[in-house]
Amino acid sequence: MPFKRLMLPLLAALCLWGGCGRPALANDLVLGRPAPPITLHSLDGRAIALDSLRGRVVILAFWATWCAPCRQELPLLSAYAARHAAQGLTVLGFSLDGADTLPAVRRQAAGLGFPVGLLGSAWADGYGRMWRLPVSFVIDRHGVLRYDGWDDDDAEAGWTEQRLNRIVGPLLESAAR
Amino acid sequence: MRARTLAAAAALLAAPVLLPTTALACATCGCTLDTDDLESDGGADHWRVDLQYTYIDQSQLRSGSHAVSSGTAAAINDNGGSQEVEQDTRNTYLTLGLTYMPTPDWAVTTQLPYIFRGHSTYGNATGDQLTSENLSSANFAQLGDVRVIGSYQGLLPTHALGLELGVKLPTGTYGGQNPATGVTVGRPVNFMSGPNAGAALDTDLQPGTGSTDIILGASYSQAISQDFDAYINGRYQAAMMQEMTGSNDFRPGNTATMSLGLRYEHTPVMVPQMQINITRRSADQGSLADTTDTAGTVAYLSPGATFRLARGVHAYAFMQVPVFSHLDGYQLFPRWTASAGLSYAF
Repeated sequence: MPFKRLMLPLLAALCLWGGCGRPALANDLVLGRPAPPITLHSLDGRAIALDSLRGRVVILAFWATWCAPCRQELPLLSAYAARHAAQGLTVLGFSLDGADTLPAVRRQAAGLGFPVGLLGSAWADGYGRMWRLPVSFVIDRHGVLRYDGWDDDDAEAGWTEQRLNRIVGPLLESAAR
Repeated sequence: MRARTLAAAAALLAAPVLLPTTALACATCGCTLDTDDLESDGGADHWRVDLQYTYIDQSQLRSGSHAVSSGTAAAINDNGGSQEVEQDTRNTYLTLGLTYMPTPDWAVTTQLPYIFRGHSTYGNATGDQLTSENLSSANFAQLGDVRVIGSYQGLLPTHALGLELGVKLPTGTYGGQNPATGVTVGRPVNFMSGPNAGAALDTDLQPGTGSTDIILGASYSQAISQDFDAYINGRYQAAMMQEMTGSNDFRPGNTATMSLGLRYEHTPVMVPQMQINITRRSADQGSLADTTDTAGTVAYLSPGATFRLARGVHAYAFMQVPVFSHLDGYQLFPRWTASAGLSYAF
């Protein structure tokens, strides 16, 4: 029957991809395990790989110019990074903006003390699809994932000084000892 | 005939939701997004070319919500009534789409459909006349009615909401024969074989409708989890001007289509989707129209998937399986339809 001949391969393909043939994981993130590799291609032309920052505490911050909570957290994040740079803190800012809003990204980035670049796709490798902003991930000096923004309901409101001190602070202190 | 336009409307009006479009949504606290537009380098002043193949074989005669036999329709003629008994209408649409996006907010799409159609009918046969020698057939391959649709996605900074305004032009061959007077208007395609050879094919089976239609549409998309997007899309099409007027007039029925869908966005490489398409069509009007066998409501369940072959290059395939139909009179209806296409953004 023509209908069955057309439907069966389609359903089989959807089944294999959509769940029957693989676990339905949204990303490759596991707390306490090595963070997935990612590289920031910054607006000033640098390629900064997460692996190259081993020995430092890293915050990966995903944001967009049209996202109001993002615009609120970025200056706070920048100030926190500047205060703790000597302790080995690095922030990488990944913008979800498209090329059409690049001037707005540059204006926003000009006021920040950490490198910023366009992600270029909604899918950030092992970090999954960036479906909700702002979202951040924190990696310790050994390249191990210590904070997964997808699992934190408070992440939608953006970073606060209290949350930074609670989540990032201990990593900076223990690393400094 | 008839469900030619109803089935085609359901398939063709649902087409715009096959491809992902710009879709970002931002709440007051935390923002959600579906940034498919990042795939095409974003930015202003770019183009998309889309070639879509759609196959619709209307091989089943239906009335109301049920399938009926040819004999059931012919029994009306046995009892002195007048009812056309159609056998099959097979449609293939090859549609070339060209989209220009001068800014991320605006887009203009031109769709040029090339139609391959074969139709066969027993005419107003009685039960004992349902034989092959009483079957009349017509076939053609011609350009259909061109559509030009403008869309705007600048109402929200996130581009989640899109509005459409378009026009369908009478570029396809149109015409027909007035059954009461025998007068032929336009340049209709004729039957090629059978008892009706040389007579005009039904007006609503011609390549074009001879009408200029307005098209209104709206769409909204929202990421609902890391892996899923939901979307809704609605379109309304109504004839505003007709080429066939006066005593030999024809006006195609208005069509409204709504689609609800869910996309599985685990990876951009392959995005499975499931849609529900609901279409309501009012009856054709005029002396050249079949006013009793053209209206109806249908619902399709439409599984499909979009594949990213390379940056800016997508392929997609969908099926539509009717899950509900309520048709006025007697209409040919498809058991399923299929669409597949290739798109290139640059």
